[in-house]
Parts: sequence; structure tokens; C-alpha cells
Amino acid sequence: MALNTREIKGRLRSIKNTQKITHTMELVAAAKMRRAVTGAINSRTYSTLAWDLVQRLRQAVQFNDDDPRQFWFDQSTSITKQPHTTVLVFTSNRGLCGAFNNNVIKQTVKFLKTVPTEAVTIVCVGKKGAGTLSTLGYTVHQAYAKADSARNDESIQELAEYVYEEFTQQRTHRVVVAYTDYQSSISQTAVIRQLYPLTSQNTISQAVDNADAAKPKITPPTKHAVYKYEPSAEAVLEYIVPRIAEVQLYQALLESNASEHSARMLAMKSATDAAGDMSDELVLAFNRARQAAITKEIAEISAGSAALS
Amino acid sequence: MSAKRLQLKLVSPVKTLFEEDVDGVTLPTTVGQITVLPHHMFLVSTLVPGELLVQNNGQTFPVAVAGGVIEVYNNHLVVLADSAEHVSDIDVQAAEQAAERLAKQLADEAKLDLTTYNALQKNLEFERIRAELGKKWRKI
Repeated sequence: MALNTREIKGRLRSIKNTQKITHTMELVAAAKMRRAVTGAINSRTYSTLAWDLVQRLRQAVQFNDDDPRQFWFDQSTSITKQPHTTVLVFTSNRGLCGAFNNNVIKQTVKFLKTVPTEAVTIVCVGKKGAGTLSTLGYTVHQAYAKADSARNDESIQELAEYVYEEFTQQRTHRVVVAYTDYQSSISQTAVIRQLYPLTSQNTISQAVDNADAAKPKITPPTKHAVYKYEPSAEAVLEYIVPRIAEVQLYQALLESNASEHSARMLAMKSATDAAGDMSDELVLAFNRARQAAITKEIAEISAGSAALS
Repeated sequence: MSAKRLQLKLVSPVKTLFEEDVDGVTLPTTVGQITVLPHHMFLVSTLVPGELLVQNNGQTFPVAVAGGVIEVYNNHLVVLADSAEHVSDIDVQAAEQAAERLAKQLADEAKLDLTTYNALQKNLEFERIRAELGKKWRKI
């Protein structure tokens, strides 16, 4: 009996320790989530303004038929006989974040079933995605480490340049991004959005809610305004298009990070709650076992003294 | 009636640095340094890493920029900087260290592919500008 109480005590202690860890992880995740959300909101001003500018520039530039740059925007001409697609998958580096990774993978697999396998390149950002997708039998062509707390868009530069090269050389005709869209701290959805060719619909920059705060308050110039381009409209366009893609990827990363941390926060909260319930039960069990041991001892003593007298 | 002022919006992907009316802005563009004052003609241009000066009420606010795109229209100036920092926020020592590290990376790996090389080169240039500007404006 004495052994039983000690056993329960040991379990109780280990549960309480685990509870402390999960509670700390919850707080850390909450802080990281807030930082990622702020970053996403801050970068939205840039992408909105850049996008406005590109729309205007586009009308000023006329590309030749053989110029690969025309594919930046044009949806119809870029679809050749066998369009090649690149899929970028944003997942987390670590687990313990509920269904976060599974949701992204599920969306990705659903998308991959709609395109022929040989015409697809899969690029993973974050350790978990590469692992899970290759277990599922998909070939992961490239894997990048994910910056868990991205402070600026440098962390995504390499990926952005790789994608830009692939697309400009027409080795791939469409680039889509699978990531988790952060709507609020309790609701995130895994989505697939198109990166190249650039579209005005359903882009990453539109994803986050409460965008009103970041919307530029300036009035756009009139349609017929005549601009002077230095050095040339093409050069400006060439400069800004990869930048837009980079910023969109950066936003996808931040959204994904925010979602990951809030998923982890939720998972850790329920783990903490479960640990609390468990330890409550164990305290009751412990008290009962202790009382049983005492009762038994008293019974033994009184039985012994009864036998003596 | 007061003279027209220039509405400046200076943003980088990380944050918005300026969003206010100013007297004028001096920018390092690809074709040379220009100053944009109110009533400037409509213009779109690209920036090179360098020093951006915002003039407001007789005061000068220096900003280090790492390239970008600018657009001028109707007394609006939109600066889309790849990366930008108020000179007063610059940590000179950190910038110097970063520049040193990047220079070493560039020198060590001769086999770097072109895109990585260009990216590193650009980052290095910005770090050098940061360090230089940080020193320059601290003395005053």
C-alpha cells in the first residue's frame, strides 16, 4: 500500500512538471504569434503599393512575343502544351502544433492530384512538410529551412530568387503556394494561392483580414497621367516584379508562422488543461490510497492488540 | 495660403518609416541623385543603395536605403524600399560586422551561383552604406 501512494506521488509530480512545460510553451507561442501577425500587417502596405504601381507600369510596357517577361502577367499564353507547375509548401519545423501540418499537407495532396505528377516540382519550406510528403510517396525536389521568427524578408530571399529564375526561364509555367492563412487566433485555414503569373485575384496579400488599417490612404493618379520612367519602364518592371513575389512569399511565411504559433498555443493550452484534470484525479486517488493504508494499519494494530489481550 | 507640400510615403516590407507631409526628399536613384520637391513631374525610377534625406521644417532626417522603386505623382512620393532604416537606429558595430561577414562569404566561395552572388553583393552594399551613414551622422 505504501508503495501505491509513492507511485501515485511520482506520477503526480511528473504530470505537474509537464504541465509547467506546456504552459510555458503556450505563453511563448502566444508572444511569437503576435510578432508574426504584426509583421504580416506591416508588410501589407508595401505589397499593396507595389501592386498598384505594377498595374500602372504594365500598361506602359509592351513586350515582344518572344520575350519571356510577358508571362509575368499573361495567364492564357503561358499555358503551353504541358504546363509545368511548382508547388511551394509552407509547414513548420517542429511538431506539437495540433493539426497544423496535416491541414497544409492535405490541401497540397488534393492539389497534386489535379496535376500530372511528371509536370510538378515540389518545394518544401519547413522540415515537417518534406518528411511527410516523401512518406506519402511524393518526390520533394527542394527543401528549405524555415525561419521560425522571420525578422525581415531576407529569410525568404533565396527561395524567391530560385522561383523567379525558374519562372523567367520558363522551366515552370505556374507557381502556387500552399500555406496556412491566419484569420484569427482561433481560426486558420490551409490554402493554395497562385504566385506566378501574378494575378490580382486571390493573392496572398489580400489574405489577412483587417487590411483596412494598412490600406494606402492616398488617391491614385488619373489613368492618363504621363510618367517619366528612369531608366525605363521595362527596367523598373524588371526590378519590382521579383520584389513583389518576394514580399508575397514573405507574407506567406509570416502568415504560416502566425498560424503555426497559434495552433501550437491552442494545442499547448489543451495539454495544460488535460494535465490539470489528470492531476486533480490523481490527487483524489492519492488521498484515497493513503486513507486506505492508514485504515489498514489501524485495523492491523487493533487486531494485534485484540489478539494479545 | 501655405505652399503645397509633398506627401511622402516611405515603406519597406518590414515597416512604414514615413507617412507625412514634407518639404522635399533627396534620393539616390539609378541615374544619379535627385531631389523631389512639391510640383515635381510624374516620375517612376529605381533606387540604388545609399542615403535618402527627408527635409522637413528645416530639419533633415537621414535614412539608409538598400535600393527600391519610387513613384512621384500629384505631389505624392511613394518610396518602396527593399530595406530601409532610420540612421539614428543604426547599430554601426553590427553593420560593420555584418559587412565583414558578407565580404568573407563572397571571397570564400568563388563557386557561388549568380543569383546568390548578386544577393550577397546587394546585402553587402547595404551593410556598408549603413555603417558609413551611421558614422557620418553620429558625429554631428
